[in-house]
Amino acid sequence: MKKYFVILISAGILTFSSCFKQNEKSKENKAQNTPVNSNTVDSESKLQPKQLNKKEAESFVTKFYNWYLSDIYPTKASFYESPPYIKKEDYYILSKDILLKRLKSVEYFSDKYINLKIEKLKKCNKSLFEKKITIEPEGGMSTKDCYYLDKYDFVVGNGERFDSFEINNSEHVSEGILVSVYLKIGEDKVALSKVLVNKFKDNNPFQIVNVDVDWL
Amino acid sequence: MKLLVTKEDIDLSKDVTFYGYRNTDKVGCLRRSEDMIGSAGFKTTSYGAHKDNLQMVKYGQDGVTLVNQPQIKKAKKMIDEHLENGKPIIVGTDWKPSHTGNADKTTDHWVVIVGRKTTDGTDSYLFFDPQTSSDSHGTSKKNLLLFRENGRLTGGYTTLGKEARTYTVTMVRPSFEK
Repeated sequence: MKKYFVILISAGILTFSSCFKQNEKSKENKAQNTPVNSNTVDSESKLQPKQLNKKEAESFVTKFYNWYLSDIYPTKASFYESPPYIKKEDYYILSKDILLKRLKSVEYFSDKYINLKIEKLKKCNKSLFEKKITIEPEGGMSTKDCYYLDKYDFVVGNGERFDSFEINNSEHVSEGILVSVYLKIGEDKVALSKVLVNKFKDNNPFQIVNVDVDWL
Repeated sequence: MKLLVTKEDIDLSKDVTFYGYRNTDKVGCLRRSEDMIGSAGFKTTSYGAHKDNLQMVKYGQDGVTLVNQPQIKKAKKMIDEHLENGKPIIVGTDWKPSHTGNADKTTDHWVVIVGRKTTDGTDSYLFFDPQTSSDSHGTSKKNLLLFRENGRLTGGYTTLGKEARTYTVTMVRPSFEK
């Protein structure tokens, strides 16, 4: 009996110690990978796809595109995509802090989406810095790691006039719900945007995980 | 023997207001080009894949090499006819091995052709470039696209940061009165 008691106590200590380490590790990971939005949590706690409501996801994406096409695209299309240049030492790079601040201010974007954008920008900045640019650049990224900034994230082209959009369909996928949206010029459906969304906390609204848009 | 055809030089640059690069719309060169032709009373086709647009070159199957398209001669003719009728015209250009989300998966950038000059039988076309916010740089007389023997229109452009780019015209988008 005494033997069993010792084993039980040892197992308890090990479990406690392991949990504690895991919590510490989780905190570290969170600090490294999630430098943003306190109202969202990391992707591990997202809801399972089958629990998500497709109509609700479509409604969220409708709200997002209404906002983007009417409030953002006409006058400041690059605002949440490409930040201003700043000087690091004597050379121009793009401001990571400003982009992070801008992205964090938008409730549509999940931590995962924001992290993806920030990681890409870091890579781009590394290339820019290596080029030792002393005059502030203007249109057109000349570094391969920065080419992605020459495209809009949520529409196609270089300033085409989109008149409206239309939800095509939505489906459960392993990462959440994928909502397909037609972008329209006049009555013509010219592009298809695939917006991956998920909820990151019970009762929280949907957020964007990724967007992939291309011409039809 | 090369047959020299004398053409009238055309300069519409005084009819077009320059609209250049904006920091809050870094990718909006088509919009700025539309603003420019708009200042002269014109608009262009409603979108990049419109049937009235004429493709001059496009990436081949390898996604890197530019290939002449069947409409290349018609496109050059369209540019000439526009200028001869006092219409500036928007053209797409390729200058790097990628594209900026345009329908042809080739075009990187859009500029406005505002003039033509013929020297020794070779046509060169003056363009306004919204790559820059600088009026003088964007409307420089050095901004020229030359008609080449392979049927293409190409030209050098140097940014204010001294970065040399070579433009090849990919697509022509006709202008219509507003």
